[in-house]
Amino acid sequence: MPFGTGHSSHEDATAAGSEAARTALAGLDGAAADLVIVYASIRYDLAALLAGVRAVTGETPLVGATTSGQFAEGEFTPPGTAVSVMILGGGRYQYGTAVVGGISADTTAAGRDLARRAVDAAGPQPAPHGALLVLADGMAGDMQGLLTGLYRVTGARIPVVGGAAGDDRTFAGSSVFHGGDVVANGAVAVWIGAEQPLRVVSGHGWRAQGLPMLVTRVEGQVVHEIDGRPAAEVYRETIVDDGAAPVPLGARSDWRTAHSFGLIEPDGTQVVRGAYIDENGAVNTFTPLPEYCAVQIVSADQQDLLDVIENVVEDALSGIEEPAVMLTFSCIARLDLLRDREGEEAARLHKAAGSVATFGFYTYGEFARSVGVSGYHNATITALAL
Amino acid sequence: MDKIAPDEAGERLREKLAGATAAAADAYRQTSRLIRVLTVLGQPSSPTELVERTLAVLSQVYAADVTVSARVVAGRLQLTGTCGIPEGDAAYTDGWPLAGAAAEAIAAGTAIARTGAALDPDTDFPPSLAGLAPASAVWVPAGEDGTADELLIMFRSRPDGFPSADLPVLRSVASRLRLAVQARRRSATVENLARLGHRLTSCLDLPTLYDEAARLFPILVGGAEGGVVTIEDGVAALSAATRTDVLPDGYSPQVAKLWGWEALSAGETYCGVHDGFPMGGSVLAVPVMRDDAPAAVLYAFRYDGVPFRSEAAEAGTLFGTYVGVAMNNAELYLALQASENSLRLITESISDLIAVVDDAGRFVYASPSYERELALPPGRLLGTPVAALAHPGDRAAVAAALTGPAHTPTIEYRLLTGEDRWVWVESALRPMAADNTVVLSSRVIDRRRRLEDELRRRATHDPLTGLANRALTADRLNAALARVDAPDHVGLLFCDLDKFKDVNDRLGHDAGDQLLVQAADRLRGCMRQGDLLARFGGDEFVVLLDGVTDLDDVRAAGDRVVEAMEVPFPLLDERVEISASVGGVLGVRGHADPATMLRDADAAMYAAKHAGRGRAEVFDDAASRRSLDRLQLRSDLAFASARGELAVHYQPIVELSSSRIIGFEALCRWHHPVRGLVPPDEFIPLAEETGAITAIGEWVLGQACRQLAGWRRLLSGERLGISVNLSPVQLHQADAAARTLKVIEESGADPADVWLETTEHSAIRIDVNEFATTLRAAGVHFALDDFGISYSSLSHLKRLPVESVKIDRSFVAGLPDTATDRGIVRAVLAIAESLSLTVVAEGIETPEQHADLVALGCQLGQGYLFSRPVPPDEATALLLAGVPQPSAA
Repeated sequence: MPFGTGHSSHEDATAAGSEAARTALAGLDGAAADLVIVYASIRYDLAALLAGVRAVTGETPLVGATTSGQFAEGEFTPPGTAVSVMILGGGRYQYGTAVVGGISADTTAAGRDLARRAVDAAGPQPAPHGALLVLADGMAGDMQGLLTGLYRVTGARIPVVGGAAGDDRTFAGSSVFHGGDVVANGAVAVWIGAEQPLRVVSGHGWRAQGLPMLVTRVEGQVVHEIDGRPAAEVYRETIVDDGAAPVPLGARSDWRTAHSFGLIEPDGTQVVRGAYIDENGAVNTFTPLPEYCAVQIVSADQQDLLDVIENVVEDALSGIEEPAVMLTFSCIARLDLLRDREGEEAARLHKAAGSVATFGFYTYGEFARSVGVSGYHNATITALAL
Repeated sequence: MDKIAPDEAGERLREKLAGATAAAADAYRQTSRLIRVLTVLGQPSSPTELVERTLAVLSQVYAADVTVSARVVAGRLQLTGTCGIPEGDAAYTDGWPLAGAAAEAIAAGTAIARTGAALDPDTDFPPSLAGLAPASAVWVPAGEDGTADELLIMFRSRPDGFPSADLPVLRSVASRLRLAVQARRRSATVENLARLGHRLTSCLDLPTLYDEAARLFPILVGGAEGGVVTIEDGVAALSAATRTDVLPDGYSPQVAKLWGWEALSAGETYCGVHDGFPMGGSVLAVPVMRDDAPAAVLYAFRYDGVPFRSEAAEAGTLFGTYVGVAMNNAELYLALQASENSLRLITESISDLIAVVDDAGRFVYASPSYERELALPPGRLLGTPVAALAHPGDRAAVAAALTGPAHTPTIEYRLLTGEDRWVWVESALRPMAADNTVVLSSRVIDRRRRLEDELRRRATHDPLTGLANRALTADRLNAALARVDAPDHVGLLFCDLDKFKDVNDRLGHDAGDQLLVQAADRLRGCMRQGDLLARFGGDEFVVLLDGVTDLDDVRAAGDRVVEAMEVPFPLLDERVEISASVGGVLGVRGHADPATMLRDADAAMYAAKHAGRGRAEVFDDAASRRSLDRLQLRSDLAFASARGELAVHYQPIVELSSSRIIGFEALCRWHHPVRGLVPPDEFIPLAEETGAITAIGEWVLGQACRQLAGWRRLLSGERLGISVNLSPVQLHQADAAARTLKVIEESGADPADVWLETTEHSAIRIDVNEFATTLRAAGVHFALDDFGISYSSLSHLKRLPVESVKIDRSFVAGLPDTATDRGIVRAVLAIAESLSLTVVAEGIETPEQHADLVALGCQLGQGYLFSRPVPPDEATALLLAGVPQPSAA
């Protein structure tokens, strides 16, 4: 499949967009462009940046998101003024893009709407297989709700991959892109129609420690009780204080990054849910925990995180005929924890993927749905090979 | 006993611990599954939401790719909820065949789990699962009294099966889900009945009643379409339907041909599923009984063929009795109407709108004139609340008037006509104690209100621009300041168009008016919703900012106005450039006073103009106080001359070597009756601002010259010079030269003895050529007052025929010890010498300064060492006696 990637750190938004898009387009070697993916820093005038990209790519469907760091073909770009562009072409896949705004009002309804529009945009003759690529403003509410909405429309056969947009760790707000539009509190999706089944994979490298516990009272992101006791008390008892570890510039200092909740899945594995103590002393999770869920404390060190990469890549590429690119989404939590080794992830991804080009960004949450309706993660690395 | 190495023992312990932890995790997961499902079942939601949420949670806690709840209908599985079946799948309309494990589970009433090879793809997998290849599945039946008619089904693509230990839990989940959904449906139906039933009572004519019943019935029972068939003499007639294309016009079969007539005629509901005409799908029919026979039948239809549930049939029966009661009411009303025909004849001829309103504020009667005057057919008005027709802004008043008609005998309000137009109506209200109704006698007063509105508008608006006028602004400002509960403040901007007068003079008044209209439009563009824009006449605009946080907000609004005016205005084919000077103030609600705010904003605007036009100035409290002070002083200054408060004092200028007086500098003094002596550096700038300086300057010049003439006579013709300060504003006067010369000549003084002192600054800014030439020709001399202070460029000396310069007191003060000052003095003296200028040193206070100046070669000087400025009498005395000879320290 013809494709190209481009990157720019130009200070001027329009110039940066055009520069990255031109490099990416050159990689296509004349093949027709089908889809443009743009990952950019919030530090840019994003409308101007997209105008710069579209000055090069014209009316080719465009999706994208703001990020907290990017990576492409082994090169790591830390959070800060930069844009990465990937252009997919050659007509191998069928793409339908769509956007919805105001998702915080009802993420499930928004998810349903988004999936319908994306499927409609792909045209009247759907391919036999497919996947959904979703980029969303993850700070706009319950992202599992968004997945539930998508699932009701596309069903169990369609895997979902993607990430929650970042904002260079400023927590100032993130946006997604569709065409020339910059949408806050929104989500954008690409229906990817394929002749062969597609797979979405993920991994995190975190390990359970200690006994399982039952979360007995939750209100949104606040966990009030665990095992019938005040959650903060249990959390403090269970978690080794790693607060002294230096956090990267801009990262949350109230987040004990090396320890999280592991939501126990039906198959015994854990879905990681990052947690922190807020200014009122209450335990919060970035993604709400379901009430009465079973959890364990999970922890990871830098080596654990990096060692999972090869498995994820192998899993992603298996069963895909002649994969060309691997769309990858890695959590900002990984970056926060990798600290001085932050560049290694991109390099190891690149090495493991061999001739397959890796392209992705650091997210505020990952979409990786392949079994059942669940599929919103924290602290994972997630991928789809095309 | 074998010894176990400590490492080995530790390893075993670790393994045991890991095993125990895994077992605990498993147990916790099992527990949490059931609790999570039960939690969802307990949360408030509609029946449909409940099913969807439960299936989503089941998908999550059992890692099931597809979860489905289904009901057995006519030998097939009808899906009642799914998670994982895509939208548009045929299963949603056609259902699945009841086969394989599903059929077995229903027949046996027990849960069945199958994994891998035990699954039969032909019978166990419904068509919707094509491509998913489930590796395990479970079918869990639920039902009442041992007969299962519902299934909870889960399919997994992973091969890990559903262990038998899970099955009792799943049976419990399935039956709880069923019970919860039933309970939700019942309560939803009861709610619907309570909500919808009363709507029928307001339908007082039969066609409206049937339409409403046909519309509400399917909503109540969960149908897609509804209809009403009425029965008379054994023949059925379609009286209302939500879809009109289901039956041909005039369709009137014998009742025996109606579906389920046997049950209906016995007063029972009928549920069935039918194909073809008139509408395929499931049907619910409810008879409306009168005199033990159906007078009408209510129908609800579903296209999907899912039979109506028993709860729906129960609710339908209740709704049927509501319809029966409403039919009786409507017929009674019809009879009543007939008996009122004679009354109708009378009321029809009355153009006034007569209506009777019940104690709930609804029309129970409306005269035919409602249709004539307002296009509102009386039939449609009946049952409608009067307030519902009133303008939202008048609704509360109308409702209040109807509740207490004795207190509000008349009311004026806007009413929406049948043509969707608002008209003003005046209603007289008369309560009828007998039946708690109110008779409304109304007429349309639209014309009168419009006239009143227009008059009101004219009284409060500027006719040229349509903006608010001063009166309305004052009202609104008062009201805004009185809203003490608002958390923010009130801002006020005064805008004056700079150079507007020039435009008026140059292009005429029509163009001026046009400019004002355009400026008003631009100002509107700067306003936020809720702000008030006003014109106070001339080129003076005012903006009331209702709701600002602080003075910065006011400044920002002012800057916007200034910016908007910077763009040239197209006027009579040219682009006219003007600018606006804007003043702004902030008023705190409950504290600020409108008049003060207006005055301060005006003063701030004046400050903006003074600071250079085309800019915005805002005044805080301190600035306002200062401005008030200045304003007072300014107005006092206007009368100072007339009240004799001004005086001229004289300071001798002496020859430094001999202390001989060679002349005087005339200085103006203002004795304010309250403030005492006002320093010149305070009132001279004010006089310059107001323009009073011209008169004051000429008066001082006249006084000084007359005094000089007097001294000349006293000294028998001995020469004496007089120095008088000249303001730059005086230089601006069109006929400045002639006027100045006239004053000198009329005083009797010799122009050659007069020295006009001006500042280097003003000499640079103003083209003084003509002025200087005329006066110099008459013999008048010029001196530069502030040489060296500002623009020290020798070339400036050429612009004015200067013969003398003054060394500023600030340099003299530094003598003899400050090297820089001394250097400057020395330089000035050197320049003066090379240009043949005389030099006068100002502000000499000590003998040391005097001595040093003499040493530096300065010949003339003035200062307290010789004498302060003194009144004329004392000056005369000095002239006669001489100033004291300074003694060296």
